[in-house]
This record gives sequence, C-alpha cells and structure tokens, in this order.
Amino acid sequence: MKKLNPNVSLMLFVAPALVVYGLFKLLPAVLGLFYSTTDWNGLNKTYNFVGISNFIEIISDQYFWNSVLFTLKYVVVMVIVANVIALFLATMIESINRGKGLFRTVFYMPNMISMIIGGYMWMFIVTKVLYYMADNWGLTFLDKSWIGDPRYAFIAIIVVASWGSVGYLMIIYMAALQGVPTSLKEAAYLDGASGWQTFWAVILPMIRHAVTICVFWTLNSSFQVFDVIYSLTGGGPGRATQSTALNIYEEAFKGNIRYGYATAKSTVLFVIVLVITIIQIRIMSKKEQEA
Amino acid sequence: MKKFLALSLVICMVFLTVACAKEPVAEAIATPEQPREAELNIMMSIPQFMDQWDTYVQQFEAKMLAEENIKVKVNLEMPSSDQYESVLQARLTSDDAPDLFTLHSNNIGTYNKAGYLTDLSNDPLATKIYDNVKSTVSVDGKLLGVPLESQAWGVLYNKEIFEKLNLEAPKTLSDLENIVNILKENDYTPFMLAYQEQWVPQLMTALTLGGKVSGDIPDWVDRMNNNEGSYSEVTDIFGPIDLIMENGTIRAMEVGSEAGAADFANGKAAMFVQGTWASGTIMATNPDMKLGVFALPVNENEDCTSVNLSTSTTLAVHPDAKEMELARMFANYVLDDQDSAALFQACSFNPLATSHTYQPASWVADASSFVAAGKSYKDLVLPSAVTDEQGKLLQEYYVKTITKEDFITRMDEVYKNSNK
Amino acid sequence: MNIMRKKKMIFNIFVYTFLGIAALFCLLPLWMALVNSFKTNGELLTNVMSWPSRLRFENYTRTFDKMNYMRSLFNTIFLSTLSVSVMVVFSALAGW
Repeated sequence: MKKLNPNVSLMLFVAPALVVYGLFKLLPAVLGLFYSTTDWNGLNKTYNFVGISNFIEIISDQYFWNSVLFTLKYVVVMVIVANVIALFLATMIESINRGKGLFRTVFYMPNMISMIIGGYMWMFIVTKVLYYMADNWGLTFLDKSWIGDPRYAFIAIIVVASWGSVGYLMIIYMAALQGVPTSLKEAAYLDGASGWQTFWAVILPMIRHAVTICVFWTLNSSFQVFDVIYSLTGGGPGRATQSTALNIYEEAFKGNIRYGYATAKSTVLFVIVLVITIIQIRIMSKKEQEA
Repeated sequence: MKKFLALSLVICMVFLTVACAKEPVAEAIATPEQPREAELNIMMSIPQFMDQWDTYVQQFEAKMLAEENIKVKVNLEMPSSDQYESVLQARLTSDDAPDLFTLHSNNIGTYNKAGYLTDLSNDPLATKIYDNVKSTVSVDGKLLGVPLESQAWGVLYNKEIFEKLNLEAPKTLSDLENIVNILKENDYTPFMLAYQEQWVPQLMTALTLGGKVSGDIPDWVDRMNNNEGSYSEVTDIFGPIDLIMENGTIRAMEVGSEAGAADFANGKAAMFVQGTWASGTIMATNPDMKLGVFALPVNENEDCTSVNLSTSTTLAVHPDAKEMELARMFANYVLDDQDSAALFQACSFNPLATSHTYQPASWVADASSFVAAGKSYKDLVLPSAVTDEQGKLLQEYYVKTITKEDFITRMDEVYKNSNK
Repeated sequence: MNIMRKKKMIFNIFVYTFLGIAALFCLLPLWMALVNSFKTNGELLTNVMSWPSRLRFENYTRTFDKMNYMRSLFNTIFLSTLSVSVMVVFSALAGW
C-alpha cells in the first residue's frame, strides 16, 4: 500500500466521481452532439445524417436569435435585480435583533418549491387575484395586462423568478455578512462613517467573494431559464417572452418535432454558456490572485 | 480517514448492487388456482374526464377478474393536455411506452409511419364504429385507433340571451354583425375571449379556414401541401376574427380556457368560440345554462357557414404492448355493447358506434342538426406546426404586435417549412 | 443618548415594516394555494379571494386517491436519499 504512487491512489479516489460524471453528464452531451447532425424527429426509429445543415439553418433562424436576445436581456436584469434585493434583505435581517430566524425561513421558503409549481401559483395571482384587488380594492395600478403585454409580462417573469431565487442568494450573503468582524464596523463608526459609507467602504469589500459567487450562480441559472416562463406565460403572447430553452423545447416536442435540429440549437446554447463560464473562471482566478 | 472513506465507498457499492439485484426477487409467482396478475399502462390526454374513466377502468378490472380470471391492475395516467404530447413522445422513444395511449387523429399518419400503432381492423370493435367516423381514424383502410371524441362543433351561444332579444343563429357574416350590434345595444358583451392558452384562439382559424375552404376553395389544402397556395387566398377569415376580437371580453390574455368557460356559463358574454368539449365545465358551473351551437359564418356565402366535424382524441394500442391480448381487450371494451354507452354519455362524447343509443345533450343535437342538413365539413388536416403557429400568431395579432399581412407571410413560411 | 435611542427605534420600525411587507409578498402565493385548496372549482372561479364556504378535504382525498401520492412520495424520498448519499461520498472522495 505504501509503495503505491501517490498519484495513482489519488486517481482512485477521484475515479468514482469521474465515472459517474462521465456516464451521466458527458455521455449524453456527446450523444446529443451526434443527434444534432441528423434529421431525427424524436419519434421515428430511423433517421438520416445531414451533416452541418442544421447549424447552417440556425444562422438564419430569426425566432432562435430573438429568443437568445430575450434570454440575454433576462440574464442582465435578473443578475442585477436578484442580487441587489438579496443583499438588501440580508443586510436588513442582519441589522435586527429579534425575528432573524423567522424572516430567514420565510424568505427561503419559495426555494423549497419547484419553480413550475411556483409559476402556476403566480399565474393564478397575476391573472385572478391582482384583478380582484384592482376591481374591488381600487388598486387600479394593478390593472395591467400581465401576460398579454410583452413589457408587463417581462416584469411579471422577473418578479416571479426573483421570488424563487432571492432566498438562496440571501442565505449566502448572510453567511458572508456574519464573517465581517464587528471590530471593523465599530472602528468605522468611531471614525464617523455613516451607515452608507460603512457599507460601501468596509462591508462590501469584505464580502466580495460572496458577490462573485452569487453573480455567477444567477448568471448560469438565468441562461437556462425555462420553468418560470413555461408555467407563467408559455413564451407568449406569440413568442414575445420565449427564452432559448423554451425555443429549443418547442422545436423538439411541438409542431414539426425536429429533434435533431433542436439538439443543434442546444449545442449552440451550450457553446454560449461555455464561453461565459470560461470568462467567469478567468475572472475568479484573477480575483483570488489579488486577494 | 482513508480507511473510513474506503469503507464508505465499499458500503455504497454494495448498496447499489443490492438495489439493482432486488427487482427480480420481488416478482410474484402465480399459482394455477389464483387469478393471473397483470398490469396495463394507459396514458390519456383528457384529465377533465378522469373520474369517468377511473370508474370505467374499475369496471374493466372487475370484468376481467370475473370472465378471464385475470387480476388486472390498470395504471391510468392523465398528464395535462399542454404537456401530453411531449410526455408521450419521451415515453414512446424510451423503453417506457404505455400499452395504450391517446393521440389526436391528425397525428395518426406520423405515428403510423414511426410504427407506434396497431392495426385493429379485425377486432370486433371495427364493425361497431360509424363509417364516417371510421374514415377519420383509418389509413389505407386500416383502422388504427378507437375514436373517443368525435364531434360536430362551431360557436357556443347562450340561448337564454338570444331568446330574450329575439336573435337567431346567423347565416352570413352580416347576420353576425347584426347580432353583435343588438347585443351591445342591450349591454351584453358579445364574445367571450380566453386567449391565454394558444389552442383556444387557434379554434377561430380552425372554424374560419374550414368554412372558407370547404365552401369556396376546396383544393386549398392540397395546393398548400404542394407549395402552390397562400394564406392570401383566405383573407376572408379575418372578417369574423376581427369582429370577435373587437367585441369580446377584456383581459383575454389572462383568461384560460377553463376560466373562460366558467365566465361564459355565468353570463359574462353571449357567445364563445369553443368546442362542445367545454360543456362539462360550463354545465358544472351553471347547471341551468341553456347552451346552443351555431356554425360560424365567414363571409356572405352561406355555403361557407358549416359546422366542423372532427375526431380529436383517439385511443391507440402500442404494437409492443407486453399484455397485447389484454390491451386489445381494453380497446374493445371501450366500445362494449353494454357499458360503452354510459361512458360516452357521462363524458358527453358524441355517439359514434352502433351501441351508442342514448339521447345526446341538447347542444350536441343542435350541432348534429347542421350535419343532418348537409352543412358540415371534415376538419382540415394541417401539419401540427401550422396549427401551433396559427395559435401563436393569433395571440400576437390580438395584442397587436403583428398585422394581417405579417400573419399571412409568416403562415406561408411555416407551411412551406412543414412541407419539407 | 436619548436621540441615539430614538434614531435606533425609528430605524427598527422602518426595517421591520419593510421586512414584514416583503415577507407577506413572499407568502402570498403559498397562502393563496393553501386557501384555494379547500374550495371547489366553481367556488374558485367565481370568487378568488373569498374564504372557502367550508373546509373541504375532497381535493386532498382525491389527490391521495388518484395520484398515487404515497408512491411518488416514496420515489422522491428514495431517489433523494440515494443521490445525496452517493453525491456526498463521491464528492468527498474527489475533493479529498
């Protein structure tokens, strides 16, 4: 045992994880890559090899690129909104003495529900309860076409998606905030810094690693957004709120059921996400070197 | 530490092997005196009739136990109709295919080509189905499914309101405009709009295209299939569509089909472009509702004013069903001489077999009178990508993000792509 | 010191009101789902905000009846236990 090369024993320990990863993550991905060069319709037992013609078709697929644009818009707004709210809530909860646990539990609760179900719950509120409030309580500002008007539909999606993810981010921020030494805050206070100044100059730099983690987590999950939009607007009206994942889903299972073409589209989405991940890793390792 | 990790790894591996090996042991061994145990998996797209079918399945289980000495356990699944097709596709291509499943009769061709349908022509049920219905679920003379929902449908209307204002079913578009005006003068909202789900606005194209094509240009679908036609030939369809959209209830995009049916039942509007399949929700919400059906006029040509005859839900048997015999028995039991009529009546499906001797509901009789007068056409068989797109574009047309011209060009494109 | 305390109190009132509103917002969908689960379909469609006319448990008994709820619950528990234990072991190994 002792004569074993340390590298070999290390490899042995990593092996199970590697095998599972390869079998359940890499293999389907590679197989998927293969289907993207066929015209399989997801139903027939046979299919033809069509080379890269699926990818050429994507270039001129207006609906696909619109959905990519929509997803980009969603990602940007989501990263800002969700993180600002989460950080804000975390700071607030950290600043109070009583009821910390209660609020933390309440805000984390939506996280325990699958977003498909959450989306349906919200659809009920958006299509029924808000109008009830507008009609009976005089809250006329709620009388908007929350699903029918692309602008308001986007707001509705952001609100619901934030509802589902803020709790998780908030927990990370809270943990980071608890790591900020009280002595530093007290020193800042004695030096005459206002609350605002303390936050920007002392607390924020101390929790920068948490910010990085949260931002990239939202970035990655937002790029694959599907369930919220699927259950809330179904991508409608028409295709106005269709995310890339939804567009791929429709290509694979609705209409002409072009499974091969849909796989080609998801390959493109994969490349986009890959590029962002590489940038993310670059930035993170740079940050670590600085620190 | 190393030891602990190695140990836990071993335990985990053992656990996994045990979990995998357990299955064959669990299988029951039947003794000759006891009834044989069997399982039948059925997947259907009509969750609104879950209760009725549950009862029917129990009857089937009892019958099998009594007559064939088989203890059948039927697993009846009803995913929501929105997701049904994707769930079905995933199950068919994996090894988890249901023994029996429902599909839309428009998809019979595709599924048949892929080899997922069993020929039922020689089963007893084949002789029971009415011929005009049988043709909608057959390919090359082969009966490939048991029709469940076959109906004549048009526009639903509230007979009470119509009678109060002395209104009659319209024969032409100007008749319909007249009705709309009178309704508005008397403070009724003419149309119920429920556009949240894309298949509901799509019904307007199903009716208007069907009427226009059958009355004026019967070869349109054939030409479209050969890339020789265009939607610009059928611009008439926007006559009724504009009229409906301009004179409907508000917040249409926020109202789903169920909520729309309930609102219609409560008298929020006088007419609703919806098939007779919505009658379940309507009558449950308001049991006193007087429901009628008329054909939607498309233009001033009375020949275009007809009801749509279509078979939607069809029950098919998977050729690789483990319990083939049993699956076929169930398919035949659906049209059973004794029990079938009660089931079809309970679901308010239309009579489609010789054993269905019950008196149909008043609205079904309404629609049937159009068929009897020769004012009906067989539902157009369009590629499902085209049907889906029509629903999407009508939503966009309603919220005014596209114009009629956009609609026509984009539909022509989609149709061409589906012909590839 | 008095001013300090007053300032602190105003701050606290503000924070608690804000957190309270946010918490209500968070719970609204869950609350609606809970209340409406006791209504019949007709009741639900006619008035969304009303209290259920009486506590109906039909929806729950139906769920247990029709959905094979126990079976799917068992599946979920079995799957999550297995996946978590496998994940913990494998990740621990790889991480180490």
